Amino acid sequence: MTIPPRPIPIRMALALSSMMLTGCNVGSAPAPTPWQQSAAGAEGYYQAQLDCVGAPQAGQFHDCQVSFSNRQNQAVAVQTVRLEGAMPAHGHGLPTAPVLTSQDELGHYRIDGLQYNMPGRWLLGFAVEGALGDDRIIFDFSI
Amino acid sequence: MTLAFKPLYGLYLLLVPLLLSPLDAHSAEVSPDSPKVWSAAEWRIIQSLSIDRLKPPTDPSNRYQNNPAAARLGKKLFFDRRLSKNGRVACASCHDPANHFTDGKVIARGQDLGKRNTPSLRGVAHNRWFLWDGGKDSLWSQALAPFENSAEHDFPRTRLAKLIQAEPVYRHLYQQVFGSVPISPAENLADEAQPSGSVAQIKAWKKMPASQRQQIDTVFAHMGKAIAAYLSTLPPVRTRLDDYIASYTQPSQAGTQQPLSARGYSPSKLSSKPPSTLRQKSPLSPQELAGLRLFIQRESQCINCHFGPLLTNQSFHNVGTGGAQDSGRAAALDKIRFDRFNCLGDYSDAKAEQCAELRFMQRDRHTLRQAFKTPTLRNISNTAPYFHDGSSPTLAAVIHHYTQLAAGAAHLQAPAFSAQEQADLLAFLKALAAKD
Repeated sequence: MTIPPRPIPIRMALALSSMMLTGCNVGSAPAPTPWQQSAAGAEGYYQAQLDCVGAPQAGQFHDCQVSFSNRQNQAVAVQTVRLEGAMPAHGHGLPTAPVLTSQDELGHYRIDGLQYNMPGRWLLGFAVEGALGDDRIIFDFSI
Repeated sequence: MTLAFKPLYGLYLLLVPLLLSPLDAHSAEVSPDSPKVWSAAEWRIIQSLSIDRLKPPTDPSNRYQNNPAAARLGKKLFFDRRLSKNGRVACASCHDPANHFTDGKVIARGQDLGKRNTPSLRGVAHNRWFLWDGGKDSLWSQALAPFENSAEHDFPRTRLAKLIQAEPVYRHLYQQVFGSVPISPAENLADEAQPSGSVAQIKAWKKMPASQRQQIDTVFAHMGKAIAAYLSTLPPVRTRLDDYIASYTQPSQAGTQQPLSARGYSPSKLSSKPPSTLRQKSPLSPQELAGLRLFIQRESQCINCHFGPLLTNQSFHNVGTGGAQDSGRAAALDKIRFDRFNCLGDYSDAKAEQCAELRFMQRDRHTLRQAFKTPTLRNISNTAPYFHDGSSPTLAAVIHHYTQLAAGAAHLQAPAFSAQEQADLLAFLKALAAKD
């Protein structure tokens, strides 16, 4: 299922504008490229957009946010959301226990403590409970 | 609002079918002793293993980490056999510099037989977690644990603090770095007092006023920070793999390396292009290169845990070595959280936001049962025997262990290495030995 992209979050926009302003600095570390993924829930109630400051890499913390919307792509609040990751080829989960913190009343969460410990294929799943129903949204990507 | 994090067993069931997909296909085979030996992707992986990409270690919880006077004090403490119950055990007894800072024994022995194998300390300051189960979250905090362990030094912190106060050299060095020793000779401190240990030791500790316990803990923490400062002067070893990668550093960039290598750290600029031809005298033999090729292939699974300049992901995995006697990381989780000397504790110099590894550590005992820390492979051939319990006497035995793993018994699947591949891999691992 293809999901139309949501508007770029404010923090991501700031990061992008900052990159535009500083792009020609000689000797500074290259700014990470924003990484954005979208996925729909298994039940079709919700869809989610994952926004990270950089592409996922093994062995470091990631600065990410997740936003939930309904099938009309309108931001919606959810009652609870839980996060879990899995390493496909090895049958283990994330090396850390990330914490989700609500940023507003419209299903927008900051993710702290997200880390991967191996290169390869990862699944990042969100179990969502809300007024629309219970749903599970899985992001499937490789590092 | 912060949401509680609980295992999503239902979600995991959903993920399981996706876990069983095949691994990536083999990359094209190319003879390792021919020109154009590596693809661009392979060369990027190989370059990521170079020690020249390693940054100096930083520990925000220890503001004395790079203090030379602290390192001098720490070195003296490290080699002092008086800091033990029988006066014969120093840190250096098991971490012997003449033996690559390890002891060559299956299980460490101090005052008594210990529990696990002694790891080497070369490059230890780069670790995120310490001990095989990661039971400590900083090098300075780890350095404290063996003193009060009855099988190691068996030397309570009160005796340590009194020695620092009483010994003129120690008192002088301590004062140079940390200020006056916060206990006076007039104080009638119990010799055998510590918050864990025998009933008598615990009672003696609880009998002391809180202010006095805090003074003792302050000296104790400073000792750990001094030892950590000394150990931070021991960089990880340079290997022939590093020379192999560096030999393809572009000549125009080579000169930038020279002044930066004072402490063994030299972040050179490496060529982004794979080598098109081998140097006449390659630092790695054809068999070692064949082993390197095998090592970086995804289906071998070595690179999954042993990546980056330290050749470790600094994480915890069940590799089929745990038994009923030792549940590894799972048993250490609460100990770390409630350790008064952790990154968030009163004796840490770090701000809370600098303690991300501790704040967000995985606490799921189920997934961490019998999981142990991935060790570095630098200098691995000089630090036998292997695994947390020293159960593999040789690297060949380690490789064989992995090929024999039962399905589902570990965080990896048994790789199907041929006898020749095992020999190649072994040759490569031996090429990771210290050059010095």
